[in-house]
Amino acid sequence: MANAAAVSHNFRQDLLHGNHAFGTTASSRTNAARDTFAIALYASTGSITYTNSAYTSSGEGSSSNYTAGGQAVATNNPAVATATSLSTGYWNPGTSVTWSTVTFTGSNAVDLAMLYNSTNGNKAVATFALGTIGQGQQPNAGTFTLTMPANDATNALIRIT
Amino acid sequence: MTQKVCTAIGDIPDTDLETQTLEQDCGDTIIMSRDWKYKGADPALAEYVGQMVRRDCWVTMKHGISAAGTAEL
Repeated sequence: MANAAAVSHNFRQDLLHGNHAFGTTASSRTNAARDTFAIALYASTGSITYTNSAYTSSGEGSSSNYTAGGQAVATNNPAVATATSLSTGYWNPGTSVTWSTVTFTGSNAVDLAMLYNSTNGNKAVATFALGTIGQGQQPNAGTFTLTMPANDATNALIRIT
Repeated sequence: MTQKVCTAIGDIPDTDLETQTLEQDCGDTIIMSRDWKYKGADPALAEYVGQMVRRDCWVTMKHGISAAGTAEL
């Protein structure tokens, strides 16, 4: 077998584990404990995009039984899938997320969810459309459930390829 | 067994409710909603709840986000 140049398979999984610090100063983080990630919901009248670097309450959905900041998601270990020189590190929340007896109607309808790191400065990870942007979901005194995709290299919530 | 939906001014038996389920494929997500609507004859309840009693929503993520990069150097 000859040499081969490519990004290490494990690197993409290790990024999700927080095992690399490329900065010019030593990382202040020890990774002794896992971070907590949370999901917040945003109203369709908001202006949250990929340019938001952290969670914000601006434009967030509002309802009884919904706490600002959303709710933490269950932990899950990152994984990696490999194929020749390619690899995909991926991660999914451990379970789906549900809010009970919430009302997001009218201008408060929600069309976006933000996954963020509530342990480390509320740093944003990604935003996800809840259906079609602009056409917010409107639970009314009902249950709102966000079901996670299959936990694999093709569908998982976060994938690094 | 008759189930009830509780409101502040009284309970609504499920015989006075009709449900409507709507499923929509939005590409990366599937949206399903279920509406509970009042069809009873009690004018006080009709005025209080209007037509809509409750709506449940399920958002199923089919695909997440991929941060794709160059595979080989």
